[in-house]
Amino acid sequence: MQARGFTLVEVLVAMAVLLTATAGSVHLLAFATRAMHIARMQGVSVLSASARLDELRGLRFEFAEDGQRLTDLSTYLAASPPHDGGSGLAPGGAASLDVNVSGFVDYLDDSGAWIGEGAAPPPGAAFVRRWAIEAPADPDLLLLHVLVRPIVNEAAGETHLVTIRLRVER
Amino acid sequence: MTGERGFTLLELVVATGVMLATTGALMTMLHHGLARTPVLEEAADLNQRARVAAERLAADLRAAGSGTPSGPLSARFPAAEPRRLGDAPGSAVSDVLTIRYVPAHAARSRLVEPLEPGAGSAIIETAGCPSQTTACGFTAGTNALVFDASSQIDPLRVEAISAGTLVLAASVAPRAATYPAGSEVAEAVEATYALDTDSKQLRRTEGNGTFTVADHVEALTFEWLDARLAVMPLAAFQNGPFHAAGSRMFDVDLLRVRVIRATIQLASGSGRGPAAVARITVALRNGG
Repeated sequence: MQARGFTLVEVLVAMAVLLTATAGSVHLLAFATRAMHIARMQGVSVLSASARLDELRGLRFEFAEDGQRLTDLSTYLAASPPHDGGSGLAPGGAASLDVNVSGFVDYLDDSGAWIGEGAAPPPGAAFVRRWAIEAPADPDLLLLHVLVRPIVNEAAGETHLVTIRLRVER
Repeated sequence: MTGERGFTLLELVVATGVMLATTGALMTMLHHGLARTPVLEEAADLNQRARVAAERLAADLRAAGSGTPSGPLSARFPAAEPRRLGDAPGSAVSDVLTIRYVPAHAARSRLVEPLEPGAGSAIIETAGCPSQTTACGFTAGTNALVFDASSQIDPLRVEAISAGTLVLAASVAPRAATYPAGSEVAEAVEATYALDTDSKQLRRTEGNGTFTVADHVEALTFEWLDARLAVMPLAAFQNGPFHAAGSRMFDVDLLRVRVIRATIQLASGSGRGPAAVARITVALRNGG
Protein backbone atom coordinates (compact mmCIF):
# COMPACT_ATOMS: atom_id res chain seq x y z
CA MET A 1 0.00 0.00 0.00
CA GLN A 2 1.29 3.38 -0.94
CA ALA A 3 1.12 6.07 1.82
CA ARG A 4 -0.22 9.32 0.50
CA GLY A 5 1.38 12.54 1.89
CA PHE A 6 -0.02 16.05 2.04
CA THR A 7 -0.24 17.99 -1.14
CA LEU A 8 1.46 21.33 -1.33
CA VAL A 9 -1.95 23.05 -1.35
CA GLU A 10 -2.91 21.34 1.90
CA VAL A 11 0.31 22.41 3.55
CA LEU A 12 -0.10 25.99 2.34
CA VAL A 13 -3.68 26.16 3.60
CA ALA A 14 -2.65 24.75 6.96
CA MET A 15 0.13 27.28 7.29
CA ALA A 16 -2.16 30.11 6.28
CA VAL A 17 -4.66 29.06 8.95
CA LEU A 18 -1.88 28.90 11.52
CA LEU A 19 -0.61 32.34 10.53
CA THR A 20 -4.05 33.88 10.70
CA ALA A 21 -4.59 32.44 14.18
CA THR A 22 -1.22 33.70 15.40
CA ALA A 23 -1.77 37.10 13.86
CA GLY A 24 -5.15 37.20 15.62
CA SER A 25 -3.66 36.63 19.06
CA VAL A 26 -0.93 39.20 18.42
CA HIS A 27 -3.65 41.66 17.49
CA LEU A 28 -5.59 40.74 20.62
CA LEU A 29 -2.59 41.47 22.83
CA ALA A 30 -2.03 44.84 21.20
CA PHE A 31 -5.72 45.59 21.62
CA ALA A 32 -5.67 44.62 25.31
CA THR A 33 -2.64 46.82 25.95
CA ARG A 34 -4.33 49.77 24.26
CA ALA A 35 -7.60 49.18 26.11
CA MET A 36 -5.74 49.05 29.41
CA HIS A 37 -4.00 52.31 28.68
CA ILE A 38 -7.28 53.97 27.72
CA ALA A 39 -8.97 52.69 30.88
CA ARG A 40 -6.18 54.17 32.95
CA MET A 41 -6.40 57.49 31.10
CA GLN A 42 -10.14 57.57 31.69
CA GLY A 43 -9.67 56.90 35.39
CA VAL A 44 -7.18 59.75 35.71
CA SER A 45 -9.45 61.97 33.63
CA VAL A 46 -12.48 61.42 35.90
CA LEU A 47 -10.47 61.91 39.10
CA SER A 48 -8.92 65.13 37.75
CA ALA A 49 -12.26 66.53 36.66
CA SER A 50 -13.96 65.76 39.93
CA ALA A 51 -10.98 67.18 41.84
CA ARG A 52 -11.39 70.54 40.11
CA LEU A 53 -15.16 70.45 40.68
CA ASP A 54 -14.59 69.82 44.38
CA GLU A 55 -12.04 72.62 44.57
CA LEU A 56 -14.68 74.94 43.09
CA ARG A 57 -17.04 73.59 45.76
CA GLY A 58 -14.51 74.36 48.47
CA LEU A 59 -14.36 78.08 47.70
CA ARG A 60 -16.48 80.38 49.84
CA PHE A 61 -20.06 80.76 48.55
CA GLU A 62 -22.24 81.12 51.59
CA PHE A 63 -24.34 83.20 53.94
CA ALA A 64 -22.53 84.57 56.95
CA GLU A 65 -24.30 84.37 60.29
CA ASP A 66 -25.63 87.90 59.79
CA GLY A 67 -27.18 86.84 56.48
CA GLN A 68 -24.58 88.61 54.36
CA ARG A 69 -23.53 86.89 51.14
CA LEU A 70 -19.90 85.76 51.11
CA THR A 71 -18.39 84.81 47.75
CA ASP A 72 -14.77 84.06 46.92
CA LEU A 73 -13.80 86.47 44.14
CA SER A 74 -10.03 86.32 44.37
CA THR A 75 -8.65 82.78 44.28
CA TYR A 76 -6.65 81.93 41.15
CA LEU A 77 -7.32 78.24 40.51
CA ALA A 78 -5.21 77.64 37.41
CA ALA A 79 -1.99 77.71 39.43
CA SER A 80 -0.75 74.94 41.69
CA PRO A 81 -1.12 75.67 44.53
CA PRO A 82 -3.89 78.22 43.93
CA HIS A 83 -3.10 81.79 44.95
CA ASP A 84 -4.69 85.24 45.22
CA GLY A 85 -5.14 87.50 42.24
CA GLY A 86 -7.78 85.51 40.37
CA SER A 87 -11.52 85.83 40.15
CA GLY A 88 -12.65 82.99 42.44
CA LEU A 89 -16.26 82.10 41.76
CA ALA A 90 -16.99 85.15 39.59
CA PRO A 91 -18.54 84.02 36.30
CA GLY A 92 -15.84 83.15 33.80
CA GLY A 93 -14.45 80.66 31.35
CA ALA A 94 -16.29 79.53 28.24
CA ALA A 95 -19.34 77.53 29.27
CA SER A 96 -18.95 75.53 26.07
CA LEU A 97 -15.47 74.56 27.31
CA ASP A 98 -14.17 74.44 23.73
CA VAL A 99 -11.50 77.15 24.01
CA ASN A 100 -8.67 77.83 26.43
CA VAL A 101 -9.51 80.86 28.56
CA SER A 102 -6.55 82.01 30.61
CA GLY A 103 -7.17 81.39 34.31
CA PHE A 104 -9.74 78.71 33.48
CA VAL A 105 -7.43 76.11 32.00
CA ASP A 106 -4.52 74.00 33.19
CA TYR A 107 -2.54 71.01 31.99
CA LEU A 108 -1.92 67.66 33.65
CA ASP A 109 0.55 64.85 33.06
CA ASP A 110 -0.53 61.25 32.53
CA SER A 111 -0.85 60.65 36.27
CA GLY A 112 -3.11 63.68 36.71
CA ALA A 113 -0.45 65.91 38.29
CA TRP A 114 -0.54 69.62 37.45
CA ILE A 115 2.24 70.68 35.07
CA GLY A 116 1.24 74.08 33.76
CA GLU A 117 -1.33 76.61 32.62
CA GLY A 118 -1.80 79.16 29.83
CA ALA A 119 -2.96 79.12 26.23
CA ALA A 120 -0.78 76.25 24.99
CA PRO A 121 0.09 72.93 26.65
CA PRO A 122 3.62 72.55 28.04
CA PRO A 123 5.74 69.56 26.92
CA GLY A 124 4.61 66.35 28.59
CA ALA A 125 1.00 67.43 28.97
CA ALA A 126 -1.38 64.48 28.66
CA PHE A 127 -4.62 66.28 29.51
CA VAL A 128 -6.07 69.74 29.14
CA ARG A 129 -8.53 70.71 31.89
CA ARG A 130 -10.96 73.59 31.39
CA TRP A 131 -13.63 74.87 33.68
CA ALA A 132 -16.26 77.55 33.68
CA ILE A 133 -18.50 79.27 36.19
CA GLU A 134 -21.93 80.34 35.05
CA ALA A 135 -24.16 82.53 37.17
CA PRO A 136 -27.86 82.34 36.41
CA ALA A 137 -30.09 85.26 37.48
CA ASP A 138 -30.37 83.84 41.01
CA PRO A 139 -27.45 85.25 43.07
CA ASP A 140 -27.43 82.16 45.27
CA LEU A 141 -26.90 79.68 42.49
CA LEU A 142 -23.87 78.76 40.37
CA LEU A 143 -23.41 76.34 37.53
CA LEU A 144 -19.97 74.74 37.55
CA HIS A 145 -18.56 73.00 34.47
CA VAL A 146 -15.34 71.00 34.17
CA LEU A 147 -13.93 69.31 31.09
CA VAL A 148 -10.86 67.08 30.94
CA ARG A 149 -9.72 66.11 27.46
CA PRO A 150 -6.74 63.90 26.53
CA ILE A 151 -4.15 65.64 24.38
CA VAL A 152 -2.10 62.68 23.17
CA ASN A 153 -4.57 59.81 23.11
CA GLU A 154 -7.84 61.03 21.68
CA ALA A 155 -9.36 57.57 21.88
CA ALA A 156 -9.51 57.88 25.66
CA GLY A 157 -12.48 60.23 25.36
CA GLU A 158 -13.21 63.22 27.51
CA THR A 159 -14.84 63.79 30.90
CA HIS A 160 -17.41 66.53 31.23
CA LEU A 161 -18.90 67.22 34.66
CA VAL A 162 -21.53 69.80 35.55
CA THR A 163 -22.95 70.61 38.93
CA ILE A 164 -25.10 73.23 40.63
CA ARG A 165 -23.80 74.96 43.71
CA LEU A 166 -26.26 76.52 46.13
CA ARG A 167 -25.38 79.23 48.59
CA VAL A 168 -25.92 77.84 52.07
CA GLU A 169 -25.32 78.92 55.60
CA ARG A 170 -22.07 77.57 56.96
CA MET B 1 1.78 10.35 -18.88
CA THR B 2 1.06 12.80 -16.12
CA GLY B 3 1.61 16.06 -17.92
CA GLU B 4 1.76 17.74 -14.46
CA ARG B 5 4.58 20.10 -13.88
CA GLY B 6 5.90 20.33 -10.33
CA PHE B 7 7.51 23.27 -8.58
CA THR B 8 11.12 23.96 -9.28
CA LEU B 9 13.53 23.78 -6.39
CA LEU B 10 14.05 27.54 -6.59
CA GLU B 11 10.32 28.22 -6.25
CA LEU B 12 10.08 25.94 -3.26
CA VAL B 13 13.08 27.52 -1.55
CA VAL B 14 11.74 31.03 -2.06
CA ALA B 15 8.24 30.06 -0.88
CA THR B 16 9.65 28.38 2.22
CA GLY B 17 11.86 31.38 2.89
CA VAL B 18 8.94 33.79 2.71
CA MET B 19 6.83 31.52 4.91
CA LEU B 20 9.60 31.18 7.46
CA ALA B 21 10.21 34.91 7.62
CA THR B 22 6.52 35.64 8.15
CA THR B 23 6.07 32.93 10.74
CA GLY B 24 9.27 33.97 12.47
CA ALA B 25 8.20 37.59 12.71
CA LEU B 26 4.75 36.64 14.00
CA MET B 27 6.17 34.24 16.54
CA THR B 28 8.56 36.90 17.81
CA MET B 29 5.67 39.34 18.24
CA LEU B 30 3.61 36.67 19.97
CA HIS B 31 6.51 35.88 22.26
CA HIS B 32 6.91 39.54 23.23
CA GLY B 33 3.19 39.84 23.71
CA LEU B 34 3.00 36.78 25.92
CA ALA B 35 5.97 37.97 27.94
CA ARG B 36 4.07 41.21 28.57
CA THR B 37 0.87 39.51 29.67
CA PRO B 38 1.78 39.43 33.39
CA VAL B 39 2.58 43.15 33.23
CA LEU B 40 -0.78 43.70 31.60
CA GLU B 41 -2.52 41.75 34.34
CA GLU B 42 -0.68 43.69 37.01
CA ALA B 43 -1.56 46.98 35.39
CA ALA B 44 -5.21 45.95 35.34
CA ASP B 45 -5.00 44.92 38.99
CA LEU B 46 -3.27 48.18 39.84
CA ASN B 47 -5.93 50.25 38.10
CA GLN B 48 -8.62 48.27 39.89
CA ARG B 49 -7.02 48.74 43.31
CA ALA B 50 -6.51 52.46 42.74
CA ARG B 51 -10.13 52.84 41.68
CA VAL B 52 -11.54 50.90 44.63
CA ALA B 53 -9.44 52.78 47.18
CA ALA B 54 -10.27 56.16 45.66
CA GLU B 55 -14.00 55.41 45.44
CA ARG B 56 -14.26 54.09 48.98
CA LEU B 57 -12.39 57.01 50.46
CA ALA B 58 -14.25 59.57 48.36
CA ALA B 59 -17.65 58.16 49.38
CA ASP B 60 -16.75 58.48 53.07
CA LEU B 61 -15.33 61.98 52.57
CA ARG B 62 -18.46 63.15 50.76
CA ALA B 63 -20.62 61.97 53.65
CA ALA B 64 -18.29 63.36 56.33
CA GLY B 65 -19.87 65.92 58.62
CA SER B 66 -23.46 65.18 57.75
CA GLY B 67 -25.72 65.37 60.78
CA THR B 68 -29.32 65.44 61.85
CA PRO B 69 -32.25 67.65 60.79
CA SER B 70 -31.07 70.17 63.39
CA GLY B 71 -27.95 70.80 61.30
CA PRO B 72 -24.74 69.24 60.02
CA LEU B 73 -22.37 67.76 62.57
CA SER B 74 -19.59 69.76 60.98
CA ALA B 75 -21.13 73.05 62.09
CA ARG B 76 -19.76 72.25 65.55
CA PHE B 77 -17.46 69.25 65.27
CA PRO B 78 -14.78 68.39 62.71
CA ALA B 79 -16.06 66.28 59.83
CA ALA B 80 -12.58 64.82 59.55
CA GLU B 81 -9.46 64.72 61.71
CA PRO B 82 -5.82 63.80 61.05
CA ARG B 83 -5.60 61.31 63.92
CA ARG B 84 -6.94 58.00 65.18
CA LEU B 85 -9.82 58.16 67.64
CA GLY B 86 -7.72 57.03 70.58
CA ASP B 87 -4.96 59.57 69.92
CA ALA B 88 -4.54 62.52 72.24
CA PRO B 89 -6.18 65.81 71.23
CA GLY B 90 -3.66 67.79 69.23
CA SER B 91 -2.22 64.71 67.52
CA ALA B 92 -1.93 65.24 63.80
CA VAL B 93 -0.19 63.04 61.25
CA SER B 94 -0.19 63.15 57.48
CA ASP B 95 -1.19 59.53 56.84
CA VAL B 96 -4.23 59.10 59.06
CA LEU B 97 -7.77 60.35 58.45
CA THR B 98 -10.82 59.87 60.65
CA ILE B 99 -14.21 60.87 59.29
CA ARG B 100 -17.42 61.24 61.25
CA TYR B 101 -21.04 61.42 60.11
CA VAL B 102 -24.61 60.54 60.88
CA PRO B 103 -25.66 58.28 58.01
CA ALA B 104 -28.94 58.67 56.15
CA HIS B 105 -31.82 56.90 57.95
CA ALA B 106 -29.79 56.73 61.15
CA ALA B 107 -31.49 56.13 64.49
CA ARG B 108 -31.67 59.42 66.37
CA SER B 109 -33.44 61.06 69.26
CA ARG B 110 -32.92 63.46 72.16
CA LEU B 111 -32.20 62.96 75.83
CA VAL B 112 -35.21 63.27 78.12
CA GLU B 113 -33.05 63.42 81.22
CA PRO B 114 -29.51 64.71 81.66
CA LEU B 115 -26.75 62.16 81.00
CA GLU B 116 -24.06 62.16 83.69
CA PRO B 117 -20.49 61.14 82.78
CA GLY B 118 -20.73 57.81 84.58
CA ALA B 119 -24.34 56.97 83.73
CA GLY B 120 -24.98 53.44 82.43
CA SER B 121 -28.13 54.27 80.54
CA ALA B 122 -29.72 57.11 78.62
CA ILE B 123 -33.42 57.94 78.57
CA ILE B 124 -34.51 59.14 75.14
CA GLU B 125 -37.62 60.66 73.60
CA THR B 126 -39.73 58.20 71.65
CA ALA B 127 -42.34 60.65 70.41
CA GLY B 128 -41.97 61.12 66.67
CA CYS B 129 -39.86 58.00 66.29
CA PRO B 130 -40.53 55.41 63.60
CA SER B 131 -43.42 53.16 64.65
CA GLN B 132 -42.64 49.56 65.60
CA THR B 133 -39.41 50.63 67.29
CA THR B 134 -38.63 50.16 70.96
CA ALA B 135 -35.89 52.73 71.32
CA CYS B 136 -36.31 54.97 68.31
CA GLY B 137 -34.46 52.65 65.96
CA PHE B 138 -31.43 52.11 68.20
CA THR B 139 -30.53 48.46 68.65
CA ALA B 140 -27.98 46.54 70.67
CA GLY B 141 -24.59 47.20 69.08
CA THR B 142 -25.38 50.63 67.63
CA ASN B 143 -22.47 53.07 67.71
CA ALA B 144 -23.75 56.54 68.46
CA LEU B 145 -22.70 60.03 69.38
CA VAL B 146 -24.24 62.24 72.01
CA PHE B 147 -23.78 65.97 71.52
CA ASP B 148 -25.21 69.25 72.67
CA ALA B 149 -25.31 72.81 71.40
CA SER B 150 -22.10 73.76 73.23
CA SER B 151 -19.63 71.69 71.18
CA GLN B 152 -19.59 68.80 73.60
CA ILE B 153 -19.45 65.43 71.91
CA ASP B 154 -18.92 61.88 73.15
CA PRO B 155 -19.25 58.39 71.72
CA LEU B 156 -21.79 55.92 73.05
CA ARG B 157 -22.20 52.23 72.36
CA VAL B 158 -25.64 50.75 72.87
CA GLU B 159 -25.40 47.43 74.66
CA ALA B 160 -29.12 46.74 75.05
CA ILE B 161 -32.41 48.55 74.68
CA SER B 162 -35.73 48.76 76.43
CA ALA B 163 -38.65 51.11 75.85
CA GLY B 164 -37.15 54.56 75.53
CA THR B 165 -33.91 53.54 77.21
CA LEU B 166 -30.45 52.85 75.86
CA VAL B 167 -28.24 50.69 78.06
CA LEU B 168 -24.72 51.93 77.43
CA ALA B 169 -21.57 49.82 77.21
CA ALA B 170 -18.88 50.84 79.66
CA SER B 171 -16.14 49.89 77.20
CA VAL B 172 -16.03 53.14 75.23
CA ALA B 173 -14.05 56.19 76.32
CA PRO B 174 -15.36 57.74 79.54
CA ARG B 175 -17.48 60.82 78.98
CA ALA B 176 -16.13 64.12 80.22
CA ALA B 177 -19.29 66.20 80.33
CA THR B 178 -22.83 66.07 81.57
CA TYR B 179 -25.29 66.31 78.69
CA PRO B 180 -28.47 68.27 79.46
CA ALA B 181 -31.92 67.07 78.54
CA GLY B 182 -32.50 67.91 74.87
CA SER B 183 -29.00 66.89 73.78
CA GLU B 184 -29.03 64.86 70.59
CA VAL B 185 -28.21 61.17 70.38
CA ALA B 186 -27.61 59.81 66.90
CA GLU B 187 -26.30 56.65 65.34
CA ALA B 188 -22.99 57.62 63.78
CA VAL B 189 -20.09 56.38 61.73
CA GLU B 190 -16.58 57.20 62.91
CA ALA B 191 -14.11 55.53 60.60
CA THR B 192 -10.34 55.81 60.34
CA TYR B 193 -8.23 55.33 57.24
CA ALA B 194 -4.57 54.59 57.88
CA LEU B 195 -1.62 52.92 56.22
CA ASP B 196 -0.29 49.82 57.93
CA THR B 197 3.37 50.18 57.02
CA ASP B 198 4.29 46.55 57.80
CA SER B 199 1.73 44.94 55.51
CA LYS B 200 1.54 47.98 53.20
CA GLN B 201 -2.21 47.89 53.40
CA LEU B 202 -4.60 50.82 53.42
CA ARG B 203 -7.08 49.94 56.13
CA ARG B 204 -10.44 51.30 57.23
CA THR B 205 -11.28 50.85 60.89
CA GLU B 206 -14.75 51.40 62.26
CA GLY B 207 -15.51 50.38 65.85
CA ASN B 208 -13.79 47.06 66.35
CA GLY B 209 -13.89 46.14 62.70
CA THR B 210 -10.99 46.67 60.33
CA PHE B 211 -10.89 45.83 56.67
CA THR B 212 -8.32 46.31 53.97
CA VAL B 213 -9.21 48.79 51.25
CA ALA B 214 -6.07 48.31 49.14
CA ASP B 215 -2.94 46.15 49.12
CA HIS B 216 0.60 47.13 48.16
CA VAL B 217 0.19 50.77 49.16
CA GLU B 218 3.59 52.45 49.20
CA ALA B 219 2.54 55.78 50.60
CA LEU B 220 -0.56 57.63 51.75
CA THR B 221 -0.81 61.36 52.33
CA PHE B 222 -3.73 63.51 53.32
CA GLU B 223 -3.69 67.26 52.79
CA TRP B 224 -6.05 69.64 54.54
CA LEU B 225 -7.14 72.71 52.57
CA ASP B 226 -8.86 75.85 53.80
CA ALA B 227 -11.37 78.06 51.98
CA ARG B 228 -8.55 79.57 49.87
CA LEU B 229 -7.49 76.06 48.93
CA ALA B 230 -4.19 76.61 50.74
CA VAL B 231 -2.73 73.53 52.43
CA MET B 232 -3.01 73.92 56.20
CA PRO B 233 0.12 72.83 58.09
CA LEU B 234 -0.45 69.96 60.53
CA ALA B 235 0.90 72.25 63.25
CA ALA B 236 -2.32 74.26 62.94
CA PHE B 237 -4.20 71.25 64.33
CA GLN B 238 -1.79 70.70 67.20
CA ASN B 239 -1.63 74.07 68.90
CA GLY B 240 -5.20 74.65 70.02
CA PRO B 241 -7.38 76.32 71.06
CA PHE B 242 -9.30 73.14 71.77
CA HIS B 243 -13.03 72.61 71.98
CA ALA B 244 -15.08 69.91 73.71
CA ALA B 245 -13.48 67.67 76.30
CA GLY B 246 -12.52 64.05 76.78
CA SER B 247 -11.82 61.65 73.94
CA ARG B 248 -13.33 63.84 71.20
CA MET B 249 -11.59 67.09 72.19
CA PHE B 250 -10.44 68.83 69.01
CA ASP B 251 -8.43 71.76 67.70
CA VAL B 252 -10.86 74.41 66.40
CA ASP B 253 -8.73 74.95 63.28
CA LEU B 254 -10.18 71.65 62.06
CA LEU B 255 -13.47 73.50 61.55
CA ARG B 256 -11.76 75.63 58.88
CA VAL B 257 -10.99 72.65 56.66
CA ARG B 258 -12.96 72.84 53.39
CA VAL B 259 -11.31 70.35 51.09
CA ILE B 260 -9.32 67.18 51.71
CA ARG B 261 -6.87 65.77 49.22
CA ALA B 262 -5.61 62.20 49.42
CA THR B 263 -2.67 60.81 47.49
CA ILE B 264 -2.40 57.03 47.38
CA GLN B 265 0.74 55.52 45.86
CA LEU B 266 0.28 51.94 44.79
CA ALA B 267 2.89 49.42 43.68
CA SER B 268 2.27 46.34 41.58
CA GLY B 269 1.82 43.04 43.39
CA SER B 270 5.14 41.58 42.24
CA GLY B 271 7.04 44.76 42.98
CA ARG B 272 8.51 44.69 39.46
CA GLY B 273 5.69 46.01 37.32
CA PRO B 274 4.24 49.49 37.02
CA ALA B 275 3.20 51.79 39.84
CA ALA B 276 0.20 54.08 40.07
CA VAL B 277 -0.83 57.16 41.95
CA ALA B 278 -4.46 57.93 42.76
CA ARG B 279 -5.18 61.51 43.75
CA ILE B 280 -8.60 62.37 45.02
CA THR B 281 -9.84 65.77 46.09
CA VAL B 282 -13.12 66.08 47.93
CA ALA B 283 -14.83 69.18 49.27
CA LEU B 284 -16.51 68.57 52.61
CA ARG B 285 -20.16 68.86 51.66
CA ASN B 286 -21.67 69.48 55.01
CA GLY B 287 -21.04 72.95 56.34
CA GLY B 288 -18.13 73.59 58.62
